Amino acid sequence: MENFSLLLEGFQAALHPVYLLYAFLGVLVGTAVGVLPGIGPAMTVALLMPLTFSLDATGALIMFAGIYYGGMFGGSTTAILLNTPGEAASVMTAIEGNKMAKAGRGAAALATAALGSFVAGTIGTLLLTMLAPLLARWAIKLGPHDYFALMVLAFVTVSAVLGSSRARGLASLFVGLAIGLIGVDQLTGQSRFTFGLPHLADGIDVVIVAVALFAVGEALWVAAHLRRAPVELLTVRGRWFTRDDFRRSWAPWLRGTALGFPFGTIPAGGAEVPTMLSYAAERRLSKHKDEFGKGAIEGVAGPEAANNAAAAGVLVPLLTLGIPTSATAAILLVVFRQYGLQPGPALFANSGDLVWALLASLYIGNLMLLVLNLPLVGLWVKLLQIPRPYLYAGIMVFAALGSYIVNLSPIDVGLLFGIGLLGFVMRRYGWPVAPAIIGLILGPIAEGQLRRALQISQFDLGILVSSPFSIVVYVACAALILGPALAGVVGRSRRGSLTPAP
Amino acid sequence: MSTPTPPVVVLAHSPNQSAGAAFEAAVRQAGWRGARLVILNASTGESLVDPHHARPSDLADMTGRAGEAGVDAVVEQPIGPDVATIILDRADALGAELIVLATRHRSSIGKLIMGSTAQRVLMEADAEVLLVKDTDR
Repeated sequence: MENFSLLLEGFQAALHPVYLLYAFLGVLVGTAVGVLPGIGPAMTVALLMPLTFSLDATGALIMFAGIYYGGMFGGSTTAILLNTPGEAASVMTAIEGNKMAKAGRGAAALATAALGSFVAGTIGTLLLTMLAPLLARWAIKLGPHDYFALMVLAFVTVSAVLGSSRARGLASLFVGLAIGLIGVDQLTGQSRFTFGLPHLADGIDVVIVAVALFAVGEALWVAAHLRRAPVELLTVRGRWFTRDDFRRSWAPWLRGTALGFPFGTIPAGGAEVPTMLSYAAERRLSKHKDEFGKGAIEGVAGPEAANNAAAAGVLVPLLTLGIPTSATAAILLVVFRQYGLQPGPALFANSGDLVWALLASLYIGNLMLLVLNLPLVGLWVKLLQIPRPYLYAGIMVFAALGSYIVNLSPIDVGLLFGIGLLGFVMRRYGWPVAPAIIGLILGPIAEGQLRRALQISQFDLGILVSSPFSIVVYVACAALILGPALAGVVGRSRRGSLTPAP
Repeated sequence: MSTPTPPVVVLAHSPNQSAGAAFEAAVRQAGWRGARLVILNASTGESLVDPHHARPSDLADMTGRAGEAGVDAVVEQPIGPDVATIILDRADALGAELIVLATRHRSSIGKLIMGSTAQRVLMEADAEVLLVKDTDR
């Protein structure tokens, strides 16, 4: 009940007209970038961060949270009407959604995606509101060695889950960790990887690296593949939502939420995995199995609910432990720190007003998204007609401007393009970008926790496995790395063939 | 020196309101000349969704209608930075006798900012050029 009254106070703050405007702007921009393939909420928040220095913390966070939620809504539109998922989390939506649109049921597919996103987003936010304070209270008991273990788990899962192979994920992670090391060591004052350049003594600003890897890397990648045959856009046809559609959708929505939220809270790389699981579950449970592959509404409702519930779930470890489990969450963590806030158990105690206003704004943002999304489908689709050269020229201007603003230094702009080139090469060779971002942001924090733990134990490494919690976490890490490999070996010897493990 | 292959009429097709009239003119011309019709739907390939890029179903419908009129039609959908250049180059390579283009009325500002594909083709093409206006207005 105490939480409930705090939430009401949060609503009081979030319903302030200015914050409502920020939330509206956030969901609007978020939906737009969600619709556009290749441009995601992580890139957008990184691009906008330097330009929002003048906003107060609550306003900026409300807007960025809106972008985050909006991105999840927007991805479904492109998936359904173009068969080109706007976001990785919409890949599963495209399978059945596009078939539905081809069969003239595009409107119903969009409607079940939007309503499912709303239902899941609201239930997810509700769970977040109830769980986060509890978890924060529990997390106070965690020592630095426990945090270090959790961060190792985040590193392992993010690199193992995202991308085409574990080796590429780990390589990308280490790129991020290495860039995170650059600068003067806080404890001993030693310079690390600064190459004697005074500019690097403060390290490379996270914003610059994030913008370079996401925006510049993507822009170069698009420039390298500039001319591609346009994709056929399906028209929105058919009845919006019939009683029968609702009867077939509500259970997948709830199941998708039940799958998505827990997956969001554990460090498993965000929303991709639960959408796949949800699709598989709906396929198995559906009474209309024959429709799967031809446009089954359950195959849209489940995964769309799952990705929005996961988006809410991701905020649980971010707010209570300060551990981001997806690239966008990692960028949001940077936003918090930019305003001198440290997400973690103390956040609820120290900045309660802000957190509750943020949570309240998530409910409001969800409602706005539902209202905005369906009537404006025509507008979102128009965005896809923007020629890529104009779109990416605009992004590059924002990127260069933003990285200059951070320190008012032209060297940063040079770094931006240098790291952007790295981002291009990573895309070219299929290295996922998200592990690098998480390594970059979480690496220095993990290092700090490790050193604190070792100082407490007077450099006895035993402290790292001194609590049951940390042991459990390390076992989970080992299972994640070795599990698929072992399964592959066992499977191979059983089959007696030499086909490579997936 | 006469070549054994039939002459070629190129229709520069872009799905807009005057496209239907241009298509009919192109089919008529190809019929009179006993020519092959090449429907050229060029786009820049710069945007993910491009209204200038014709749907496969519409193009199939067009070749079907040309066939009913006794004209052999093929479709090409080339992609390149400049649509006028594509049309000129393809017409050259095909040895086209006639290029058929749809035009529409444009405001003076529109003419100032965007180049006119029709104007460039008209000025630079070696083949005859037939411009078809939007008849609905």
